[in-house]
Amino acid sequence: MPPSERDRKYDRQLRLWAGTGQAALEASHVALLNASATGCELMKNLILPGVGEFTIIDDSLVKPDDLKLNFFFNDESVGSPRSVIACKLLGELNQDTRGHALFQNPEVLINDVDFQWDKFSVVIITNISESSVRKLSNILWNKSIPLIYVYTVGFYGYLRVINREITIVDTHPESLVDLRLDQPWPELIDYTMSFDLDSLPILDYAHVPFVVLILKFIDQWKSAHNGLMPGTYEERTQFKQLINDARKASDLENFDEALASVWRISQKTTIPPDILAILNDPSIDNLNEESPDFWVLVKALKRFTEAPRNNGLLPLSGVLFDMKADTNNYIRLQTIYREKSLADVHFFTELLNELLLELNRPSSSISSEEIKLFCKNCRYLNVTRGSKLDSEFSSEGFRSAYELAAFSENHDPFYTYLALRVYSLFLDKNWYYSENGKQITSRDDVELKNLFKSIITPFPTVPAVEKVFSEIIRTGSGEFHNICSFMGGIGAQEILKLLTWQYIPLNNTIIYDGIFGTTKTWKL
Amino acid sequence: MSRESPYSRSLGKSLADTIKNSKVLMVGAGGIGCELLKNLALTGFGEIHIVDLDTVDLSNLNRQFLFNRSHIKKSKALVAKETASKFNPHVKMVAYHSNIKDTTLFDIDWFKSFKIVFNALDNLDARRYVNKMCMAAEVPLIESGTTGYNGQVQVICGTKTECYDCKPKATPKVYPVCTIRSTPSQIVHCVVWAKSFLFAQLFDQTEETSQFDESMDNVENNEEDLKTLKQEENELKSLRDSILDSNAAQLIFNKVFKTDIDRLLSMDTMWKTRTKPTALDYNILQESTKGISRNIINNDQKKWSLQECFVVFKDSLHRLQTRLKFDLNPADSLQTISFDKDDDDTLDFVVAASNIRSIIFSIETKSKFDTKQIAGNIIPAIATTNAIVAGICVLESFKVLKNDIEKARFVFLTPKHHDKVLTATKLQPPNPDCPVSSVARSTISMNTQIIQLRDLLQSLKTNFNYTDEICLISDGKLVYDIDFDDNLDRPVKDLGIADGTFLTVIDEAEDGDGKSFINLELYIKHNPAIGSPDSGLISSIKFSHIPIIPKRNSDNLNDDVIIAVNGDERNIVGSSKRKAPESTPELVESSKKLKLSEKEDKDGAIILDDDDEIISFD
Ligand SMILES: [Zn+2]
Repeated sequence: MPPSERDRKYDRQLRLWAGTGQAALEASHVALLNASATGCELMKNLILPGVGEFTIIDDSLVKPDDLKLNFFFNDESVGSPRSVIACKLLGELNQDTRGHALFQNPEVLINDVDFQWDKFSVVIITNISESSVRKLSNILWNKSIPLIYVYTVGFYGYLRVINREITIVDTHPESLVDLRLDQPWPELIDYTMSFDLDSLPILDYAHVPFVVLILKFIDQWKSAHNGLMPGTYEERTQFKQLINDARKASDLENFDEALASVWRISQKTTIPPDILAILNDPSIDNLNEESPDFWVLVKALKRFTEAPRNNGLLPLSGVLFDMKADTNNYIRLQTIYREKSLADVHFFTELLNELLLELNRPSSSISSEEIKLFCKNCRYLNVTRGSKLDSEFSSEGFRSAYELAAFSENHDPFYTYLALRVYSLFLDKNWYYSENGKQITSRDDVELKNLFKSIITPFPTVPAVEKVFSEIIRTGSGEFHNICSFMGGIGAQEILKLLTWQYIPLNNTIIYDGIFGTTKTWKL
Repeated sequence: MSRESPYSRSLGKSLADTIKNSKVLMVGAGGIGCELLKNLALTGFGEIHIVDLDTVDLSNLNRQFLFNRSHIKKSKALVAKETASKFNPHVKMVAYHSNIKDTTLFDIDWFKSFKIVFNALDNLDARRYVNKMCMAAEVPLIESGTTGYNGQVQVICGTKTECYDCKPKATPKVYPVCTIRSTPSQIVHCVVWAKSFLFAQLFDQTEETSQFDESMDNVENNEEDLKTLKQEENELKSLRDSILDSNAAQLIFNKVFKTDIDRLLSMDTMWKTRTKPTALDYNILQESTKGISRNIINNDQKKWSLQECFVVFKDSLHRLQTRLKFDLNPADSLQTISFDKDDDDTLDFVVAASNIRSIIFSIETKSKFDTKQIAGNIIPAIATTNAIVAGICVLESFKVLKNDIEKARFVFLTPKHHDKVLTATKLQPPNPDCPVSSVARSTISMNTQIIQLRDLLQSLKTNFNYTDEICLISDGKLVYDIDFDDNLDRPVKDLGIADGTFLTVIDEAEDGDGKSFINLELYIKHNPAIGSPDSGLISSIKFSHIPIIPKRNSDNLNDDVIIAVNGDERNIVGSSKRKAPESTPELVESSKKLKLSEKEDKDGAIILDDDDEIISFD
């Protein structure tokens, strides 16, 4: 497809993650273990936006039951390998994606020490024994490949992301505007000084950008208050009064904007706590030639903030919002912010190049686009570190989760989480259920409850958990297409974040309760 | 295979049977529609009707999975039906490649034939229309929408809940005409100019200029200015006749980027506080663009230089000319091309023209990619959000089918709330000021070709005790009030009171307690079989029923029905029997509601509890 046509096909999503996100997505290879309904729905949502490659690993044949859940299968598919059929039909959704089918048992594959997992960017695993998930999660953890474990039962959905670490520059915050009203730099001060409010004709007066107004009045305030900014709520109210008293007419939008922005000066320009934590992360202590660009950039950023000329501040984003001002003044102000931001990028690049030299890397090895993006977004960087399944899936992990739940309200989805954990253990114990397509019945209720009690002893059992058991039994542990489709949407959304390296990902568990229509997330 | 499906086990046999016997309507076969149709089919709804006027476009394929490249330009409704029928052969599907507002196809009785209506639309106008039809037909509506990662599902159930119009909706932004035509200060002004003025005047005279509003202009603009604007517009219109000439590019360019700018520059007062624009010259630019390739049109991330814009301006104009020539049909002299964001010929022209204008006015330019978003009001869209929202739609429909409206929820998909993702709030009662929910309703059958307004008025006064202050509005236009009785002798059909329309009856006269009637909304059915001049016309106006019209305090009513004369539906909605919208931004309001609902949800009960049909088998 010619590039312009490709852009048109993906136009509506390029507006969410831009060309960089799309390129990252197209360079990805996603594996699905078990072509379950949830798994296929999830893959559909990755193939449509254009994931580069996918591999479906499954050794079962299409059964008549599958047709009710999985729209990809039809009467003719019955008896054929699910992996082959799913791969073919999913592949038809997007000609620009390459699909592979692996007719192999996922559990066997997980135990195959020679299998090469490294080619996958993300692995999805559904409807499989818990012991296999644990095993695979450790293999992938060591390779830093994210694993998504997802399944549905009845009206419930479960999703767990097992990912060692992801570092995100472009988190898409609500706004990148950084006015620095409390820390104006010389060019901004000079520009502010160039206005003589008293002598301006009313029309010009009405077009003085509010940033200038605030800076002017801050000056006025400071000279009356020993050089201090309006700090308390009370002082800010007085400061508003000061602005209000000065306005020459009632219908001055720029004064309204100034008043509406007074709260901004209460926010001191400093390094936000989570960014400070990133700057002090041990990851930057022992950088070498192989270190990820992100941590190299962070180290340069740290040096930037430590440089005396920067007064402990981060690079300026240079982003302004629209304000009441005539074109001239607006463009002038915009230029002042942009130039300051460019100067910061320039100095940052110098520091970065020094660092790259120390690491024996060529100075051009991080592109200027990456540097600009990093500087622009440096107040909103994100480092998300996940947790391994082993601790969560141990008896101790379960008991501490139980204790957490003890503080929850009656219908808290956390009880659903506990119940699903027990259900999952039950299935592992009674593996023949999944093997024979056998359904859970009311006779299994006692065993589920006993299993639960045996884990939480000596604590008392919880009715809310038992309610979930009866709901699971009611549905005969069957899956519903709707819930599969919903979880396929949620799961694909999270994977898209991981593959495009944009937006803040889920960390690390989500439970969907389709009965109440609620979801809840936790870090477990 | 005799095994009972998990659905009927869990939902209870009665709900599973209801689903199987339900006939439902899905309006819109786009992003949500594709997902929803698949879900409805696999859930086993007995009969699904699909209405969509749209055809498949390349830019749909990143999410609308029922379509592929071979379907481009084909009817979405028909293709969706064809593809989704295979998912479940037991479901009957009926598709219409039509406008849902076509009352000859879809009248109120047709709406009444559905158990539930699902809205999977992308525009305010159609949403409001279906909402109103569902309210009139008393059919529950499940309304859904997505924007990028965000989405929502609203259950609307007659007078029991809020309807789509109970909360004011943001309407498209309107700009003062002088800002657009003379004193642009932002790129959006230049884009609106290029698309809704320049392009529209040259290629598509059907385009409404609704994005301008002359009344918004301030004192700076005297009549002189407006006269100049009119003159400029006429000059441009006359250029339309030369659109196929070989020197059209030069004529148009010099007219809008030179002559008009020079004229603006001559108005000194305009530039006292503004940066003066710079007029451009075709021949001079032409000289400086040698060697610039037209391939720049493929670089949609770059901000094009003036020279590059110039090349694209000429190139896109040439492509549009070729289309006009190719399409030229002697019988049809009104050849038009409409702006379409996904039609590159039209987009390139608008991108080039708006950026040239931005350069003239010292405004920062935008890339083709960004200009497209502004010009096309593009809403980002991906498969994941649609899948999530469609799943919720079906789950909410179960509650409606079970008559468990108290358990239905208004669900918001808010992925930025990291601890929740979804927020479900209880349904609110109707807004007493809503023009759709808070009216009395009935249906009139009559021969609209012979009944005169006078007869209709008489019938209304007789049946409902209306006073002389009665006022009638048909589809946003005032047809009668005490000071406007010109139409009394005309057949009502001539006044727009035709089959499938709504007539609003307003009587704001206060009684002794300071109360007045709420509005009456009448659905019109044309029936030529009833009524002839002999049998007495008034008696041949048949009401489906005579509702008792409640009265309410008229303290807070705005007395601005006069706005109705403008014929602007938006204003009507805001005027008749309705308080001015509160200034509380919607965001604040919904966050307040969120807090409330968290508490409420905890008191809820499991919705599926009452079906105790646990079936055990081995
Ligand atoms: Zn309403």
